[in-house]
Amino acid sequence: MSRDTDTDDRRGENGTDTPTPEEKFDAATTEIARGESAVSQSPVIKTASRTVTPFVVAFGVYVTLFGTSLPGGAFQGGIIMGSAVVLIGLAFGFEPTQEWLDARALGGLFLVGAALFGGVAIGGVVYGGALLELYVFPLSVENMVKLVEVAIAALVAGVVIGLVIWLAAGVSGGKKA
Amino acid sequence: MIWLELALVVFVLASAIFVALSRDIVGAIVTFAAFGLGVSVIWILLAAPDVALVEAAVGAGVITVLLLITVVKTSGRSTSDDSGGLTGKLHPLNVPALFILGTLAVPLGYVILSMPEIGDPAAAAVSETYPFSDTGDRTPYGFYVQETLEDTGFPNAVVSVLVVYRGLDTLGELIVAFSAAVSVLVVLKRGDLL
Repeated sequence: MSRDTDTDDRRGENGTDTPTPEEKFDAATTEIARGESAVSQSPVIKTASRTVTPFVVAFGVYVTLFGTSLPGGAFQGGIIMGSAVVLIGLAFGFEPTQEWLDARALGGLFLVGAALFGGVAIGGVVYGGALLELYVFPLSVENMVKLVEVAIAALVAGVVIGLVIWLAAGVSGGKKA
Repeated sequence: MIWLELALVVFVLASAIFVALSRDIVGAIVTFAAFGLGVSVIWILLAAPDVALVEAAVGAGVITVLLLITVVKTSGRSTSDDSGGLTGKLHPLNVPALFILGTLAVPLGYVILSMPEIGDPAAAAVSETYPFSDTGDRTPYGFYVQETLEDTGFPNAVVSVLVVYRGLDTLGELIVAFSAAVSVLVVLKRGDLL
């Protein structure tokens, strides 16, 4: 509500009802720099991203786990899952998203990925094979590949979320500090 | 089918040229997303759906967001003047840059045109992987496509190469991606974010 009046004031200062593209761009720039995404005022985008996000994450899980038998795989699935959070950031602003996103959750993604992949890599040696040799495990190769895929997807999703959210929210946050 | 491919190539080339010449930065970034989408459809037509998924998600999605964030953070703004028509919206051609690009493009095009046809059994990528196949049944797809199902129990040869046969390379790839994320934190001096 207060955000709407804020925008109205700015238009009033310009003295025109329809701002030029340059003025619009400047307004959007300052809004995004302050952590309020320019599109966050649109209820359509907010509602749409809120509705779509669970399906995007579900599709990412599907692409990850069924990458063994269908086109896709962990890299694709991880990027799709990460882009769900990027979509939320675009709709609700990157700085609120970064505050909402628990740092431990992101760290947990990296930790799960590294621990799983590293565990499988060293487990191959423990079971008497070479590093990352998947044939020596008691599970079938397909299930071991799915385990490694979960690890890769977690790491890739963490990297995508981190790159976008940190770059978008971290710069202005750093100025404050 | 050939018309679809031709239309896609024209679309991709036109959007690439527009990205290079446009004065409107935000417009160029959005056109770059369209370029990525066109390239991903080309990947599907070339029977590479795994690459198409990555291209659509990264080339058209995440890269666009990253570029938009960069433009916003550096507050670069559109330099187009609406008065000049099309010439006002595009940069003039930079002749020395065009010359350098041409000297790059001619050998690249020569190499691409001299490459073997897709699926050619004499191609090195196919014939080099043959000796490991013990079935003797030669299809122009090499060892991995031929043996993946029997060897690993699942049909997607791309995933089997990534995880089963070249797992260490994938581990290195992830280390590179992770160091990219960490270097962002280092550059921003925001170690508290992770």
